[in-house]
Amino acid sequence: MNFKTLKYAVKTSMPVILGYLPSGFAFGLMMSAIGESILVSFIMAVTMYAGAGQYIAVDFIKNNATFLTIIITTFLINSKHLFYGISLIEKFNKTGKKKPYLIFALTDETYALLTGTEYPKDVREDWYIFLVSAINQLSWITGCTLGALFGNVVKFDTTGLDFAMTALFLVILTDQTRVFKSKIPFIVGGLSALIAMAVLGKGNMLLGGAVLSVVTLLVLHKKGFGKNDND
Amino acid sequence: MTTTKLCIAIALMAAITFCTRLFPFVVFGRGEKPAPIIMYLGKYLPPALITAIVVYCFKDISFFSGTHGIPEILAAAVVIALHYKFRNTMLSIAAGTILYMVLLRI
Repeated sequence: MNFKTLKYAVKTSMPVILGYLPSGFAFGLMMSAIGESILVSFIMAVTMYAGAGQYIAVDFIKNNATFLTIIITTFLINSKHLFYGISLIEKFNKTGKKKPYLIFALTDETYALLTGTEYPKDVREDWYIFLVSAINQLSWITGCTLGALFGNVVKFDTTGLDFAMTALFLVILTDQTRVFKSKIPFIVGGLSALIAMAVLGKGNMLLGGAVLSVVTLLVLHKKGFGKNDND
Repeated sequence: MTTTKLCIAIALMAAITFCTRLFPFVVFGRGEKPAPIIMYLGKYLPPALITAIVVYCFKDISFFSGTHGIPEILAAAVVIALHYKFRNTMLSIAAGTILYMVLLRI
């Protein structure tokens, strides 16, 4: 590793740093709004390191969700990661002891940087990948911790702050409507959640809605949905 | 949530998140192709789940009492409109959340 590699890694990571600092800050604020300490926000940023996962975790903690809901929902929210790594397998295999950390730190945004940007030619690739990953996580940890610190020190009326979680998921949803031509997955998810709320109540609707979505998508696939690229 | 439950919950969420990231490196590490049904779910499950989560986020709105869901609907519309126009995640989230907090105080 040398200074040049670090410089490139910081430069590549800049858009993600600028995104992670404020969105981590919002997470920390929400955590302090439900009375959790700075340490808890810090530990979650270090060990979980997941945007959507940590935002929904605030809701779990606030509503004292069951372990079953926590386990299934966390798994399904992260299910897109089940395939993310495929295009990075070869690159990561050349990184030696750094590989476990690179896999741990493979968020949406880091994935986008590592697959969507050009690598500098005159630096060692393994260190470049490691530094990009580590810089991204450091900015996330910094954002989460500063947000929690701010929320704990500056006392203000936080009513409505939890809308940040709704807004985050609306943003992801808006992005996805641009990617998918078919409306079917959105209708399946929306109806599944509504049916689960009606049948199971608010406490279990997330779990029920997620499971119902999986089952419905599988049934639709049997009937031919998703078998060509136009869907 | 008790401290013990919180610790277990964080450990579980961290472990599950890591395992989903680890999965492709373990299963496809030697160049195997994933089963078509897995690829199908990997593609179409995320948008379905995000929609389900959005519905979940609005579960506490009561249209027939209090603010009738007006702050939620207005703030959500602003988030979506801004994001369609500018594609700037932080702008969309910050503007929507601040508007919502203001609307609740009017």
